[in-house]
Amino acid sequence: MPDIGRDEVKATLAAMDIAISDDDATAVSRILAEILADMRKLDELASEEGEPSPGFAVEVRR
Amino acid sequence: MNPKEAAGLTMHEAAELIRGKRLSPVEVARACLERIAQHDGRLRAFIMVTEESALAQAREAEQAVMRGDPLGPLHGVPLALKDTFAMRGVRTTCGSKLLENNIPDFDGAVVDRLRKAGAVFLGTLNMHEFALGATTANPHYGMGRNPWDEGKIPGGSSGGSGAAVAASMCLGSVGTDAGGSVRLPSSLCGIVGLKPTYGRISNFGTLPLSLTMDHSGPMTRSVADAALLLQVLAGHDPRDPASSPLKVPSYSKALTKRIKGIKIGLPKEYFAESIDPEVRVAVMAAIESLEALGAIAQEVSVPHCRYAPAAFVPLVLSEASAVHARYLRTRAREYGSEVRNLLYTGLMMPARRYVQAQRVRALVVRDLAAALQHVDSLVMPTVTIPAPGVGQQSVNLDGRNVNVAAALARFTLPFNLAGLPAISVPCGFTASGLPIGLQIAGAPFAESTILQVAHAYESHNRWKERNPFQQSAEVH
Repeated sequence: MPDIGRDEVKATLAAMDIAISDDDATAVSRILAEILADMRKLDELASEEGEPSPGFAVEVRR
Repeated sequence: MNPKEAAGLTMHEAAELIRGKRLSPVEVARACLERIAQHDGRLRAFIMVTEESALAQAREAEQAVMRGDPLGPLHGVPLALKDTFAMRGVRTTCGSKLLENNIPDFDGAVVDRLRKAGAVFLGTLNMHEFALGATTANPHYGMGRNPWDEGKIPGGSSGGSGAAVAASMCLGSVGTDAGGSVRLPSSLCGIVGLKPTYGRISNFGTLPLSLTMDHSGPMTRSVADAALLLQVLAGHDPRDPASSPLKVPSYSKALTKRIKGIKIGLPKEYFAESIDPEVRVAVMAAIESLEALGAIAQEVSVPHCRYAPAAFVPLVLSEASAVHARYLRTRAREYGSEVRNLLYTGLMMPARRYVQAQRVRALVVRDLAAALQHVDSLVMPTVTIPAPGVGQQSVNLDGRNVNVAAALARFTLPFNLAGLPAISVPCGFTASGLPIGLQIAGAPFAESTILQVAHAYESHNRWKERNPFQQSAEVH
């Protein structure tokens, strides 16, 4: 997945009625890139089973 | 009793002395207020001190004792809470400017239960803004500092609670924990912090961060005090849809049991991680101590926990941004820049990655549940490092630079993903005098078991006898 740049951050948030400064958009682009880079290690697990858990809490409350 | 000694009492000790008419609630409240006046200008543990109201509550508590009224388990005991629990008529900011005028007209579940138990409230405690961070570098109410070394952070997000309890500015506190925010500052400040099972303590009236990972929990100077606070706070609340209907056991009863034959699991993946050498030595010594008390240690495997931080971050940011979306549209400039940009990032999270994180969460839950089939509790460091410096961005571990934020929460957050109970108990100090915490985690609703293990450890070690200002006196 390519990095999400400053202008794309601004455009995406504008579609949610959120106006964001250039400085903030640059920071968000950088933070998002770091998070998504870290998440690439999760792709190693693509072949493993792991059902989305709608509520682990449901499990622990049983 | 010397007023300084009153502030240093445990909650148990103070409650017993008050019941026996050997300590006045006014005396112990005044002792705490003196400590606050003496130290809080530097530590910035409090957002607001409600001195007048605290003394009025203490006087009422004193009169109740003299009348021979029935007394609750915390009667006259002065506490201070993280600034995130709704308290009728008291400003509740969640460490933000945005909520600086938020004065609830009701008591949330935590305050309601503490009030009914007789607690006296001294004020509200500093925290990372909206609980979204682990340092308590608060841009609105000041940089929280660690009483053991004021150049170090107290941890977060409940950093004010950690510092206030450690510095004897209150006898106990309640914090919130979505990724480690009770246990982490407890470890860094040398106190006990308990995150119970998800749903054990009602979140009604607690300002949310992450709806599927938010927990409230006791922060105290002893394990017995953590059990006492949990006893007061635990229980079903129909106003919180996640609140558990399970019966609440007697936690104090668990403290009387020995741990001979209890199986403690050492997650091998945790110990294979980069850990500060002094933290590793202290935790291994603590494990030996538990074995000497009769616990049986065995290695267990939780292979997917190494993926937990990468799954946790998109989940917590997505959930937090959902909570804040309305204000991000209309009042974004009132947030500090760090938290505002993290919340914006949550809104930008690709759905595919969110779903992937949920799938990994399921694997982490499964690993932990499987490990706990074979042992009664899991034992490991609470935090990989002792308290870092104020403003420090990275730390050297095993010869490589590691981001401080990542180093702080990686051992605590798996138990938020899984909703499992976990406690941090002091297990030593670095050569420079910084506290180290031992984390003990258990199966769903096995709070009694982890309290039992923590109490056995604490009872045979003397870490809780140290306090930060004694150490200063020795050094200087």
